[in-house]
Amino acid sequence: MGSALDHLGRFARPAQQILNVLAAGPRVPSAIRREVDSRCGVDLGPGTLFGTIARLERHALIEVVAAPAAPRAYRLTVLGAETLEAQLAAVARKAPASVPAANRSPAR
Amino acid sequence: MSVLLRLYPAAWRERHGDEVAALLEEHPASTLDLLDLIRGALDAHLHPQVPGAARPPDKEITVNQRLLGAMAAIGGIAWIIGVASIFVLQRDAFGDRNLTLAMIGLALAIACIGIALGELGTRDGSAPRLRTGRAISTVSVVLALTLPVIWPVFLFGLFGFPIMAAMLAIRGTRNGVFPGWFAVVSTAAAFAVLGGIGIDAQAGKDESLVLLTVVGLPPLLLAWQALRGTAAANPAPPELDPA
Repeated sequence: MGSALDHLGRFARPAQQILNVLAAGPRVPSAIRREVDSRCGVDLGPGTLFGTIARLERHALIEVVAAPAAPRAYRLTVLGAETLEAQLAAVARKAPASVPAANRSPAR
Repeated sequence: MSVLLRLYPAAWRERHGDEVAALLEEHPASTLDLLDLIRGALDAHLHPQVPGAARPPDKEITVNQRLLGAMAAIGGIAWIIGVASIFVLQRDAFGDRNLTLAMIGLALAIACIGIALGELGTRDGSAPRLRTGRAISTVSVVLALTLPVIWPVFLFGLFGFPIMAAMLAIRGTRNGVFPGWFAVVSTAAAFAVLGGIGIDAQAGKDESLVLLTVVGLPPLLLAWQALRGTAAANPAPPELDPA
């Protein structure tokens, strides 16, 4: 079964990374970029970052914290939090099968 | 940087332009960032996520529609007369036809059909598409002005225009402003022209231009449709990419 963000195509992974960052609270785009870089080691370029933010906002997964001008902070919506939760649950379901293999001790 | 931001649709710039500028103030753009911005601009045009500018009022659409419908009708008739006249024109002392009259007719036709198709075919209420329509209209006018002057432009106009018109018709149909049959008729006309020219060229004939007259029929059908007020009476909502 595909993940809840699969329909975003190449933006699915950055979307998940951004949702993860925003789960900790509202962030402005530059902070999102920094945190994604430090957590995932991925430097989201400005085109990808705002392309993903636009998609998440349009799908009502994130929203702007009231601010008249840039830099605007974004936060998760209820739907966004549910989507992230479902996403993480799907990852957790896959994990038991993969962890033992990953942690398998080397052959003697 | 502002040059790169201009690559983005106006609605996108209005929504995110200041945020991108603030981000890049804090984190100066690397070469990869610049490439990413260009890629993002392409994506913003191909898969618009930010709703465009407000749609013009219905009344304005109706008035423009009538005008554009009339232009399409004039263009269609001018095209048919222009192409048909090539065969009845007198030959001069050198055995060549005097094409001036035909060229004027074709230039008028390309300008009128181009403007009508460009505006109607790309109208769906979103700013980027309207800009594309106006760009196509402008190209048509430039093509029409240079058609009688430069010989290669005449050839391009005569043979390339039907293809461009068919593509615009398909786009307009996808936007939901033209009925499906219009795209089918326009595309069939363009392919009939190309196929006929190919067959005639192999047979060594020079009568393939007759087929070009059929290109005048789709604009007349479009005019009929537009003047009835059905083509854009219910314009589709701004198209946002599902992804």
